[in-house]
Amino acid sequence: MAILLQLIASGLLLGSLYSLISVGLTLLFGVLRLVNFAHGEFLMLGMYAAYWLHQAFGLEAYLALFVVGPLLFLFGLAVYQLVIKRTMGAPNVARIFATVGLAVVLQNSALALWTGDFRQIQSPFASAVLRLGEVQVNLSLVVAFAITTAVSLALFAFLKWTYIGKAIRATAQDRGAALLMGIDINRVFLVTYATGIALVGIAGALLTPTFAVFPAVGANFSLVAFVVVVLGGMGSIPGALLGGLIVGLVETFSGFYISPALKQAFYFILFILVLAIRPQGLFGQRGAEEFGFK
Amino acid sequence: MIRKRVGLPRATTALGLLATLLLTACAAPGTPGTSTTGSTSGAAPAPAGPAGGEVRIGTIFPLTGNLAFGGNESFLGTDIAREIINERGGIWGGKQIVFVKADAPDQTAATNEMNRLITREGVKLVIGSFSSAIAFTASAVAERNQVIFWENHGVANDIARRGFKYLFKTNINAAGTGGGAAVYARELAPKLGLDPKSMRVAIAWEDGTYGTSVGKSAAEKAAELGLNVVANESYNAKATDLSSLILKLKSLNPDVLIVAGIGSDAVLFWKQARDLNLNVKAVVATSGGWGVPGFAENVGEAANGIFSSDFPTDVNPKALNEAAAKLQSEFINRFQARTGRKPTGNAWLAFAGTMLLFEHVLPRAGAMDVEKIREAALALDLPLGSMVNGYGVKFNPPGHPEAGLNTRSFSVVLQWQNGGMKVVYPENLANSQPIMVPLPSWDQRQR
Repeated sequence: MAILLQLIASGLLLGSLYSLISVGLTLLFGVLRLVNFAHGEFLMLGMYAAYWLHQAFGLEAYLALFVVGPLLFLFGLAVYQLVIKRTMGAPNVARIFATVGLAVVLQNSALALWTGDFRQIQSPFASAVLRLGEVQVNLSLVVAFAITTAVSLALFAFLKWTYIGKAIRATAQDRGAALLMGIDINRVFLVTYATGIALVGIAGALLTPTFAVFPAVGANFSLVAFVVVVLGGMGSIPGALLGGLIVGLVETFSGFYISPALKQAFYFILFILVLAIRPQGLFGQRGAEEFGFK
Repeated sequence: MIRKRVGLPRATTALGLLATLLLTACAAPGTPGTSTTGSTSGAAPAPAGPAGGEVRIGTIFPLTGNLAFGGNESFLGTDIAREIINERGGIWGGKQIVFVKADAPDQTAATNEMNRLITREGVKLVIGSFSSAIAFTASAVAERNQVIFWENHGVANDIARRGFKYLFKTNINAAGTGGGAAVYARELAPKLGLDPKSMRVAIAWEDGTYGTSVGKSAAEKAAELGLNVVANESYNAKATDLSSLILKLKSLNPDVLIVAGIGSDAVLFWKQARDLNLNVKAVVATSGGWGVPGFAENVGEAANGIFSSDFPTDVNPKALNEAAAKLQSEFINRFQARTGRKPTGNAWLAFAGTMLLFEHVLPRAGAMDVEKIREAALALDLPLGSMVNGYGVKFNPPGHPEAGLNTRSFSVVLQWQNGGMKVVYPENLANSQPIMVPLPSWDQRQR
């Protein structure tokens, strides 16, 4: 029984990390119809930012995110204006190349600036372990879970009740109609892109107490993020949240009960099943998976 | 009219693209991320250097990507050897050695880069590579093209089991580090107050070329020694979470953990072991990610007490001959001057193996002639203690099942003590005694 509870706890905590990373990705897909192959690299930048903030000022992850979020928001604005904006009308292939190129540039710049050594934050907060009966959890993961929930609620509120949030939803639903309604689409794209990047930056900050950061670390996470996004439904934020939790649980359970060597195989099997049976994912709209190909 | 209007922008774009292609072809002969050190760049590989001439030797390491920390460390050791030899006047009548660098973050890049080094840059000798996977792939390309591949690191057993004629591997096999871990686990049993036959041993390994070979060797040796292996699990080094593995190991209650990790997975493993309260009495890792400075930097004091069945580092100078002992301190000084810290296992391997090549093999060969270099290498017969890390040299001849392997290589056991690694076994090479046997539990340690 204790093991079961431990597995559930570990699975959910891991899953919430995946959720937060994937929310940004699904937002970008839903609104900009952009498959952001550089997502992992922005995550890596968020991790580095939080790491350096800790080294310089001793800021813990849950405080650093208040700096990392806005920082990456600004960076996202710049990247949008310089790179993404120019690809908005281009064929999908060109957009994919743009984000792949961006990923390569970011990863190698990080390598040139900060070397390949892996770095880990060390602090009492990062090492603290919470014990609830038989279950042990890393405190920073629990905090990350709480923050993910808060951020998701904030995002939901933002999208539902603010003007720009409604504009974003309108653009996601029907770009043409939104234009006709007088919505400034370019501004919507700009804000959404920057928000997506800020979200993944915050996810990166929350990862730093647990994971070592090095230039190539993003690639490991972006693969999972893609699985989560497809599983949850491309463009659906609740889908990304639930998808992340499901993947975390599947990974942890299959790793324990079946084999640690195969645990990634299991969530990929789940991924294939979802695509075969319900291609739009759990919450996606039918046909969303084909956007960009029509 | 309309045709002209559409045609002009298209033509300009086409011309622009063509110009860019030509420019990049002339200016950057390699794929992004590579560079040539000191050699002429461009399509013609002919050296036109200083008065004494140049000797162009290729190097291939993962300088970027997941293994960059190890690749760069290894390249540094290789480069310091080059520096020392060049300062002494170079080889073959005053020729300076220049490296034609290649960066291979993964096996695909390794193949491409080897092809570039061999066909475009025209090198006949390549030094590598830190990673077993890269060594395996790159040496195959070298063999096909009859180019010498001088491997100072890769431990996977299969590397030197393919009957290659042009491969020379100066370092020990997985059987050494992996098997050595099992041997040391057995050694620890009495120190832990346990009966070797009933002591519970868990083995975990990353599922790449390196970890698979080491894990297998450890398991085989453990079986040979009659140890009680309760777990033999693999995991992916790029996994974002190892908690299911840790929980599984925890449920089997191991006394000793033998683990083969390659990079940052070592840090993740040990952190999650702490988070999930996996308590073992001893950890015997097998170099890789557990034996690099990054490990202690990232887990802090939790590193102390961990053993690593590893490559020899700064062994007791009494075990070395005079020339090697002098070289030992020279290397440490130069490395420290460049990085501010002491070299680690892979840097030692790189330096020792490359110095061997530059001091004993190439001078004897007399020229960049592949057959002469092979003969010179095969003719070497140096006793233990001749190389700066304590190794001797005797390569298995062609026809031997492990042709090209240096039989006078060995593994030692290092231990993290006070944030640095000390040699604790065997006795004649040790420069410290083992501490923290058994390891304190996580509760007992200061978190």
